Amino acid sequence: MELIINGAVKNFPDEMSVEKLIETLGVNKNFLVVEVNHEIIRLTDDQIKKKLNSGDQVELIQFVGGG
Amino acid sequence: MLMEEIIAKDSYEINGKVFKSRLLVGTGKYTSLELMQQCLEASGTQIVTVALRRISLEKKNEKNIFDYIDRNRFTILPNTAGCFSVEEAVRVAHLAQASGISNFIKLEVIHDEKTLLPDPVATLEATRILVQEGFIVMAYTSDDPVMAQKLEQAGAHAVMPAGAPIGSGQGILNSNNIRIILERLKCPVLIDAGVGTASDVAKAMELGVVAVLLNTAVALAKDPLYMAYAMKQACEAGRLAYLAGRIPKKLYAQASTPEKDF
Repeated sequence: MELIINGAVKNFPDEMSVEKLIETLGVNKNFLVVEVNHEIIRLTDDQIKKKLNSGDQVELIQFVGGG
Repeated sequence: MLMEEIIAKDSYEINGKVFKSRLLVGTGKYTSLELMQQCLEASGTQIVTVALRRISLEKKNEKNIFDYIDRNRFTILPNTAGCFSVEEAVRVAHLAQASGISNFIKLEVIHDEKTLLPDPVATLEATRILVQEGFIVMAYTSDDPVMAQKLEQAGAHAVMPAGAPIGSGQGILNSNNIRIILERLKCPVLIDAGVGTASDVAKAMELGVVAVLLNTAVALAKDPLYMAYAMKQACEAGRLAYLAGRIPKKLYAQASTPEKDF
């Protein structure tokens, strides 16, 4: 399936959920914030297990240094 | 009372949360996260700012900034840096809140990349929205006293006029405006941005602001650790000088030694 992750098109052979995507990409989950099609998905919600659709726009956002 | 006791008891509040350190320190631009961690420690700060950005998909299991910041010790103040509209700033505030890290937000809506000056109209509108939504809004703004008042009226929990443009190191360019803001506002007023060195922090604190927020002046100093400690000392010195009350400036000399009865 094709997902747009942080603006880049990525292809995955299998179906993906947010949970599986985070695992597959090896993302540090420390205060990670996820948006799917501009909607915030809380990592504590069951929504992270929901199947993503091809063409979904996923944003993976984290804290960095800033003033 | 010993001076140490006076310093230890001196505090200020933002929305009921008590802070003793009057220095807020940013976490950007350090050459390493280890150095950042040491500088936060040396500065004595209790509030640190952070930003939100897209993660890099290339670097797997990369170290996160919170691997270096003890959340039990520091209040985390996420910023909306890099936002150029009300919508962007509100979105970033929502993302920060969704992370579960903090309800505080350093609201910053920038007008353009060259000057990094705040967009006061957008900042005001975003303040209204975020206050309504229950955020603790610390609004970064220009040193315009009218705008500062409007932000307070809109419900900002703290108003943070810039001393000078972000990262410019020019110090407090218009101390008269800061004095007017301090006279007119009841909410905490902090200087945010523009600080270049320790004396700038001391001067800001001498004016009577409750605290100073800085980042670049420490992170890009030749020795950030020395500067972090210098900022701590300057902040305390400036605060004490403010409490002490300075002498008025006079045009002519006034002898400090008795002039008669030799």
